Amino acid sequence: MKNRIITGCGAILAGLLIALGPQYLFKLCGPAQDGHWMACHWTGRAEIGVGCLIAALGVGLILFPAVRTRLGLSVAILLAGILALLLPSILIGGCAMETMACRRVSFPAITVIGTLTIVGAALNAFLLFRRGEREGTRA
Amino acid sequence: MNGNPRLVFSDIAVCNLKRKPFRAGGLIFLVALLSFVLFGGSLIAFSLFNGTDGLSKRLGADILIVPQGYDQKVEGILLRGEPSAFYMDAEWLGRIADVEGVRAVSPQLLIASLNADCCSMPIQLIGFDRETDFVVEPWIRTALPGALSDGEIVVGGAITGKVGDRLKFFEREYRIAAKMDNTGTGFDASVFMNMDAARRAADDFVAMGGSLTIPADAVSSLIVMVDKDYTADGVSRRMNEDFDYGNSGIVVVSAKKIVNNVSGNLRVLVTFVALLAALLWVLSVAVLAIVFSVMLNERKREFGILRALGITRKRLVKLVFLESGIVSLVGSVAGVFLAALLILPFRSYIHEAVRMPYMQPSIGQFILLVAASLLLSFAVGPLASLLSSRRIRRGDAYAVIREGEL
Repeated sequence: MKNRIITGCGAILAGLLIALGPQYLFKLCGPAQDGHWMACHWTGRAEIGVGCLIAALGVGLILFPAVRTRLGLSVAILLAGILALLLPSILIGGCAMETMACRRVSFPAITVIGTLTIVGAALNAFLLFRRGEREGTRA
Repeated sequence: MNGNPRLVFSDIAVCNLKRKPFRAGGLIFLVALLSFVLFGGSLIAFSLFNGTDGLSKRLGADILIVPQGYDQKVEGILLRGEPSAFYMDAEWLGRIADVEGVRAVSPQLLIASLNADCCSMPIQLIGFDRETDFVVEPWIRTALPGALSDGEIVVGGAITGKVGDRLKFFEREYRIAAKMDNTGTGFDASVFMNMDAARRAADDFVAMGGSLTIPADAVSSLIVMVDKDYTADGVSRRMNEDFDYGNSGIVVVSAKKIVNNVSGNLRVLVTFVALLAALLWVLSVAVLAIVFSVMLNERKREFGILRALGITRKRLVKLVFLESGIVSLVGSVAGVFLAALLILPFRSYIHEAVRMPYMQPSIGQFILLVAASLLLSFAVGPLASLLSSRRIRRGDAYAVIREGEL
């Protein structure tokens, strides 16, 4: 139970940071002078979806006690973490200059949180897999 | 027993660490902190050295001539790429060229873009004369052997986009003709264009309601190369004497002085990081040595029984080294990983915060830094358990079981 709460809360926190961080904490660039939004704005919008997904999967980690289910949820968090990293780097991108707010702070913060999410989810999946093996419920 | 003594030993070591998770966690945290500071500090220091090296290589000029009051601005452009615009009469070009000891002089025209379609902040546009330039030209000659037309630009390494892409400034599109390598200097965030294109961009800037009036035929700065028989300081002095320093409307900036200022600041920072890392290293060895010594006292009976079961003293020493090795390895890897995770993506933020040229090391240099940091922080554990291992070597099994002594 303790492990479930710790891993679940970790995933919820990471998801919320990915979803809301670029909007409120490590803010993305504002609009250009002519009012149009740069690519980073749309990356931020997409990250809201991915972050909410990770948070929801984190809730699942707390609610579902079955080892095999939590293993599946952990793998899903891992994949969503990879998606969170790909959005600013490959799939959508950001502003052209490295000195812009998105490239200076927002994307690096997403990289740090996303990487920690991936590492945490991989570690949790590994431990759950081993536990499943020990308990005879091979996943 | 599974017949594999090595496996059994490593299992015992892991079990011992698991039995006291908070103590093991604390020790791992200490080593992780050490490797974090060691690797993180070295990475930042190395990046600053690379940046300073890039600055001295890229600067090219010995002297810079800018309008009076703008000498600090030129540092901002060179070191951090802070967009700026200032102008002086182009007739200075001829007057400076006539000064004894001046080998070459070339004009630059600076325009801070209002905005670009790529970004919501101004970018430094630099117009340079390809005929006379000796600062930008050598770096783009290989990438762009031909002419740079009015509709083409050369972009710094910090501007995303590849050759052939288009960027819009003042509602006019420019094709990226070449891209410079990263240097860690302000040039990375600048866009270079030929002088005619820059003058046209200046007109566009004014037409679009730019806040600055740009005089016709104005230049922003002059870059000067000094003849090899003269010193930059001597030529600077002569210019100040010839042009009535303080009243001429221009200021003579020594490029060497800018580099020296940066190097001076860097030396202070590196000394501080090195001292902090050395202090933390000694502290880590001392703390771990104390903890292992205390652990040994707690585990006298366990070791005594193991001895009575026939395990040699050499193997007991091996066990202690194995435990400290696991603590060191996990801590070192965690510290290096976290430092890399925090420092590598935030390079632009760090560059801005330190206000000095900053360029992260190449892959080869990075691997060397990782290896050196891992080695130094890993050595902490085995070194700290040397004292404990000596006590084990001196111990006697019977005495340990009977009296609880080693």
